[in-house]
Amino acid sequence: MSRQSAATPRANSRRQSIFLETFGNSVAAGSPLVGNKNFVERKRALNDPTNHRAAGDTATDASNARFVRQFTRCESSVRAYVRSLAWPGLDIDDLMQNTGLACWRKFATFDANGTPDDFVRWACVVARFEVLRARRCVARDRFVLDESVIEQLADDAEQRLRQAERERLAISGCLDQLDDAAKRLLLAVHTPGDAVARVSKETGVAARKLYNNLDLLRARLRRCVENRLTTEAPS
Amino acid sequence: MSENLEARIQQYLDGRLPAEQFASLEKTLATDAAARELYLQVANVNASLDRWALEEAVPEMRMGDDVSVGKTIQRRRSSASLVPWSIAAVAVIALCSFALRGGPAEPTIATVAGRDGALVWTGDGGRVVRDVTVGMDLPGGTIEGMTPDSWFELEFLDGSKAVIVGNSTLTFSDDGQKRLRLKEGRFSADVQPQPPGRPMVVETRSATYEVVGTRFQLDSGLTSSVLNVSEGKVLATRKSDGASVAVPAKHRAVASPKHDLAATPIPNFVASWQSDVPAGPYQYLGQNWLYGDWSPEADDTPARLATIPYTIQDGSPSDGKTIYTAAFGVSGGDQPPVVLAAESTLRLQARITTKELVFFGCTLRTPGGEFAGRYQVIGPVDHLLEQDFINDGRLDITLPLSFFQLDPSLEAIKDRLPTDLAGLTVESCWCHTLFDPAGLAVESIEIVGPGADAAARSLLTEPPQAQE
Repeated sequence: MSRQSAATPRANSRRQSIFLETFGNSVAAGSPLVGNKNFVERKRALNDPTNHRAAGDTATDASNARFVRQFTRCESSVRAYVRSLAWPGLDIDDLMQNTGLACWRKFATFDANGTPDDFVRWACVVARFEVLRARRCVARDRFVLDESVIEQLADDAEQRLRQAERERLAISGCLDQLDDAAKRLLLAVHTPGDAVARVSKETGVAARKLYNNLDLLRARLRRCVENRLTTEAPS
Repeated sequence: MSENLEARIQQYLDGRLPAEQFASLEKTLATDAAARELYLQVANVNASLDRWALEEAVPEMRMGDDVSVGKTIQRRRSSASLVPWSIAAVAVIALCSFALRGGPAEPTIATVAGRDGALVWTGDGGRVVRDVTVGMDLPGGTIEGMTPDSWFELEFLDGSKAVIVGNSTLTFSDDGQKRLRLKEGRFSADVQPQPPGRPMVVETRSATYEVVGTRFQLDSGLTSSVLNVSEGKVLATRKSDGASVAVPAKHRAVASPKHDLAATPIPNFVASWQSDVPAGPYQYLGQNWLYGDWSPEADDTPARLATIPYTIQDGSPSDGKTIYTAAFGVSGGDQPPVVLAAESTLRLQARITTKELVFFGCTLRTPGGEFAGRYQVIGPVDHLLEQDFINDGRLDITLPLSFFQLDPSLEAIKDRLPTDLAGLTVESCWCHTLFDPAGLAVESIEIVGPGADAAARSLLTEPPQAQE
C-alpha cells in the first residue's frame, strides 16, 4: 500500500478556484445559495434557469460585483480575525463560509461610501456573531473559552485590525530567514493533511520534542515581527 | 509577558493544552489585557502561517536533519515568493471560505510505528492488507494480531501511541476525536493531551473509557474488561448499567457484571508464576489467557495446551509457511504483574512426538506498559537441552534468564528496547515449532523468582529506559 500523501497546497488552490468560479458566477447571477455547501447542488442551482436574474438588472449586478471585490480584499483579515477567536476543533472554513454568506445577505446595510477599512470592520462584526453562534453550539464543552472571554478577545481584536495586518505583512521577512528544516516543521502544523508525526518519522526526532521546537520557532517569529514593526518608519 | 503564558496559549490553539491548565488560562485572559494582546499576537502568527502554508511547497526532510531551534534562523534569501495571493487569484480569494473541502478519500490518521509477527489490517472499505510495514500511513480501520507473538504500534498525528500485543483486534478512527474499539486482547496507549471536549474514547464489549492524556493498558474479553492506568486518569463507564469511575494512576478497574466497578490499587508485583493449564482458557478476567488447542485432564494424560497453526501470508520469504504455537498470558487483567529478576529461571514442561526445533520464550514490557521485546531460546539442538529431551517425548527444560536472546526479527529496533531484562514485566510465555507441529503440547510453564517478593521488589525503582 503506497503512502497516502496530503493534498498539496496548489491542489487546494485549484479546488478552491473551481468552486469559486462557480460560486462567483452564482453570486453575480443572484442565485440563492444560502446555506448550501454542496458543490453539486451549487452547480445544479447555477444551471437552473429560474435562478438567473433577468438580463439588464445592472444595479444588482454592480452591487454583487462590489461585494465580491470588497470581500476579496479583506478576506485574509477577516479570516485572521476569526482565527484569533477560534478554538481547537472549530472548522474555520465552515465558519468563514457562513460569514461570507451572512455578509452577502446583509451587504445592503453596509454604507456604500464606506472605505475598505470600514468594510473590514463591518465584516468582522458579522464574523463575530457567527463565532458566538458557533460557540453556543458547543456550550457544554468545558474546554472552550467562555463566551465572555471570546467577546473580550473580539473587542480587542477589532481595535487592532490594522496592527494585525501590519504583523501579517511583516512576517514574510521573518519567514525568509528560516531554513528548510524549520519551514518543514512549521508547515507540518499549518498544512491540512500533514502532521508532526510525519516529520517525526522523517527526522527520527520524537514528536514531543518537535512540538517544543515548534513553540520556540513560533515564539521567535512573533518576536521577530514585533522587532520589525518597532524599527519600521511610521507609514 | 512570561514565556510560559505564550507556550500555554500556543498549546491551547493547537489543541494540546492539558485540561488542568485550561481554567487558569481562561481566567488570565478574562482579567489581563496584556495577556489578551499576547493571545491575539500568537493567533495572528498562526493565521499568517496558515496562509503561508497554502502557498509554500513542502521541502522534504531527511533523517538526521537538524530541527533544533538555535540553528534554524539563518540569513538566507528565499527564491520562493511570499507575497500575498496574486491578483489573478482575487476572485478565488474572495470566496475561498466557500472552498470545497476535501483531500484524499481516506485521509491518513496514523502511521505504523512498529510491528512484528503476523498482522492483518482491514481498511474502512474492507480492503485487507497483510504486509503491514513500518512507516505505512493508515486511514481508519481494524488491525488484528494473528499470533501470540504479534505486536503492533500505531502513532496518531498528534503523537499519541497505541499498541496491541498478541491475539488482539483493534478498530481505530480519528475525525477530530479518536475512537477505538478493542474487540479482544490487549491494548496499551500513551496518549498526548487531547483537544478540549474530545477525549480519546476506547470501547470494549463491557465498558467505555475516556482518555484525556495518559498511559494505560486494557485487556478485553467476552465478559469483562480490565483497565490498568500507569499515568494520568481514565474515565471508565460500564455499559451494562452506565456506572462509571475515574481511574487514577497506579490503579485498575474491572468492568464486569459480577464485580463492583471501582478503582483499586494495582497489586504489587510477584516474581514467581506458574501456568494453570487444568483451569482452561478463561481463567482470569479480561481476556482469553490461553492460545492453543486446550485439552482437559483425561485418564493418565494431564491437561495440556497443544499448538495451533498459523500460515504466514505477508509476502515475506516465509510466505506460505506455517508456524505452530501455544501461548499463555501472564501479567495483565486482574492478576499481579510478574516481574523478572536477574536470577529468574523459566521452565517448560511439554510433550513432543518428533525431535524438532522448539522455540521457547516470553514477551516482555516495561513497568510503564511499553513493549520491551521478545526473548527466546531454541532447542533441543543445544547440547544442554538435548540432555533434557526424554525418550518418551516429554520435554522438561529449566533455563536461566541469561539464556534468552532477543528475537532476531526485532534487531531493527534493538536500540529502543531495554538491555537488562531484570525488572521487566512478563506479558506472555509461548513456544512454537516451525513448519511441523511435531506433536508439541504444553503441560506447564513456570517462572521461578529468586525467592522473597521483597527482594524482587527492590529491583523495581525506575523502569528501564529505552533509548529515544
